[in-house]
Amino acid sequence: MITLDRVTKTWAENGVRACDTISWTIAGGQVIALLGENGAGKSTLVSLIAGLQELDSGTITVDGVPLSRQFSAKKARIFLVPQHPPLAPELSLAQNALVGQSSKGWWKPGYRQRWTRVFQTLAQQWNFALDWSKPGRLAAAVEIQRVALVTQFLRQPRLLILDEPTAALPQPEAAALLGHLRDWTRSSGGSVLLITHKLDEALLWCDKIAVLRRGQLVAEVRPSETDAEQLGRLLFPERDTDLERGPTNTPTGVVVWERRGTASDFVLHRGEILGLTSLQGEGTEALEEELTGFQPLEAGRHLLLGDDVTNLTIRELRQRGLSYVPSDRMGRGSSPLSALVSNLIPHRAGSLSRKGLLPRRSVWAWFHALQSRYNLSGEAEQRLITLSGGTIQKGILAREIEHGPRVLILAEPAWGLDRAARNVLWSLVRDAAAQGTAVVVLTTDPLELLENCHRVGALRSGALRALRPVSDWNADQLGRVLLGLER
Amino acid sequence: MTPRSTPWVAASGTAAAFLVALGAGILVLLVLSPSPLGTLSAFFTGPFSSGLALGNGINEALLLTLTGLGAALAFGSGAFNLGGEGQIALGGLTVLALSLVLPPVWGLFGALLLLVAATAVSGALSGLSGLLRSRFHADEMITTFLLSAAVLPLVDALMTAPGFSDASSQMIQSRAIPSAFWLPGLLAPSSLNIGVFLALPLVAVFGVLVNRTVWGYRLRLVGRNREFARYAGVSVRLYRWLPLVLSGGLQGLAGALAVLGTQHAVVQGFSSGWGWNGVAVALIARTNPWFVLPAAVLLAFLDQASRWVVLGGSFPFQLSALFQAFILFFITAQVIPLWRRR
Repeated sequence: MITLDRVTKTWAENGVRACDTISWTIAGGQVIALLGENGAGKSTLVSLIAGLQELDSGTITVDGVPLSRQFSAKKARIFLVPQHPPLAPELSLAQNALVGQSSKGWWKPGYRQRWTRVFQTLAQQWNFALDWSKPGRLAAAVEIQRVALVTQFLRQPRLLILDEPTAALPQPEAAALLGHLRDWTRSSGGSVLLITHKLDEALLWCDKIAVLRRGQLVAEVRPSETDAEQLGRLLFPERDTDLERGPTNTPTGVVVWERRGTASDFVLHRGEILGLTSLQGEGTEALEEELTGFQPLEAGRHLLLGDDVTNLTIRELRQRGLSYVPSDRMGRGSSPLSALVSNLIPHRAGSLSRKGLLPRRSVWAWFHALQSRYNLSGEAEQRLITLSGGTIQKGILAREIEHGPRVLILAEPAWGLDRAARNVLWSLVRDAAAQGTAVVVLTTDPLELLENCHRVGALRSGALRALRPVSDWNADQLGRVLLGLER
Repeated sequence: MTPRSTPWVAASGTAAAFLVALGAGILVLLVLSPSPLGTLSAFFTGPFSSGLALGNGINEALLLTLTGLGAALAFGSGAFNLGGEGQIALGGLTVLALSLVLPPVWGLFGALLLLVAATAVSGALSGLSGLLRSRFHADEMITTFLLSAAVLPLVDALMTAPGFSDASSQMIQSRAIPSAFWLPGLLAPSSLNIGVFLALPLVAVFGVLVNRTVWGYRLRLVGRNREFARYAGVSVRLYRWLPLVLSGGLQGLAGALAVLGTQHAVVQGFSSGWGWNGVAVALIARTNPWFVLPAAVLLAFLDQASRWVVLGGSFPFQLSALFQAFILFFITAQVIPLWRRR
């Protein structure tokens, strides 16, 4: 039995209280679902339980013994399979799985082969098609997740935590896996904590369902006591409306961007703010990569003002007037260790230069003009990472819109920002749209879209299920479409 | 105070680390020396005590400036060139081979040609690692090192091969290159020569290139965060291999200068240390070309000072290696946490 007592964690980087005095008991021999909106604190909570992050306050006890440096989560055999498990690219999948397994008899010949057979047997049992000799760097995301599942399961966990194990798995495979895991909890007395967005999964396979919202545990119910409707309401409560919000302009009829021949076709007009949303892993992430040229389009075409721009690189797309605020702000959207000015100037470096030289004076003049235009705080030479999350995101957005792009792709633009920062952000996006920029917003936060877009579409399993003017939606409906309760 | 990325602020941190290392080294020197005061005085005054000492020191600083610039350029772009030793040796060998073919009447013009050729050949060797990286995903940190390790014995073998060898010498070295190509010496009998006048212009060129041009801005962007650079539309490929070519070229130039200006022959192991110490210079300079010159001067001074102390007889072992160990320890201890946070 694992007991959490007033567990609290605040992220120092952005001041978000991801876990707020959570008290909870996880009994043995059960499969428990952990549900929550994006950003509700699920990942933080499980990383605390698995000992990957330190608690700010509170305790976690395992059979009465508190977790500590001496008695770690690893010793308590609490193992986590993250959504994107780390993996050594140069080692084979079998070698990767070997890491963390018992080293008993490692010196005997055939140690590796014996373990590889164990991996193969389990994978077969779970219907996982895996080539164990494949090098890690060639493995697809779903294969990596399968390997991690097998690896952690074989370490004989007391509690096995799975972060969205079924997001990437096809339906029959996911069902088979959950069935196996449930049988295992019955026979071994171990437990499985399952983070998922799929309500049917939680209702069908789990013994208990816990719901997190804004860092707090708001409900714990048995599947027999609830239904998808009620869970949906717990997950997506109506947000208090703010009358100042919403786009101010009416888009013109000019089509700027077209996506054709895919499962998620759409057209985008000049001055339009189009919001597309899905649950995690159901389409927005893939769409971000495809629209911006980071992943090639398998089928279909992209047209920009009628020109075919399918599978152009981000470099070429930028030259044609595309701008992009990525969901991975610190990894892709900025260089955290570089100076603020270095982070703001990349698209202007060419035009500000004279014969290749970047004159300090014109760089500074440009920087200060940008700063006062967008009311950006921070000093030019200040390292980006020392600024707050809201300031960084505002800077990234300013960089992407200051030259008046034709198309702006925004991925998870408001994630992790507080209300004030969100308001500033959306007012900038509104202004850009009013100037004629066509905007696509991709996010797993549907309410954000209802407040700020002209049209909103919902994706499920990578396909666009409904695309309507924002006035035809309400939060309840959108949540139901996302969860697959309504088409 | 908010942390800045201003190079000068970073430099003050490095200078502090350097002073701590110097203090630690001197402490060891005082504890181990039988006559602390004499040793200390030899340490600080020795390198300036004669034209010979001064000239040798300046010449060493020149070579370290070139190898340091080379290493810094690669590091700055996020690539690692650990093949300095081999690239220096190859530069020397190129000079030797071509000097036997060029007509001696070409004189200094011929010498210039030899310098350029050595730069090109070593640049190509280092560029090969860039190619291996873009074609086969081979880590350039490893391939530069391994290629260098393969080139070193090859150079050793070739310098004593028929046509190149010098039967009269007791040392393992090649025959002398024609004296027409020797770079005129300065401060005789020290090893200083007119090659030293290359140092300042090269530092200036690369300082401006890296810190003040669009090209350099993009290079630093690729070095700091490759994914961000790609996202911002920078041609990441170009900035992965071109700095490696330039880096190798500078190492080759250092080797050529050592041969043309000082040794007038290829001597076995003549590159020993300059390549690796160039890495140390680049780390001390935090990959900023402007700071390569002071860093190279400081390391050259330490090396010469340590030699004086050892020559004075009061020291039994290589003090210079100890000093370098201290400096590298303190400076990398300060730098590495910054790199890890990426």
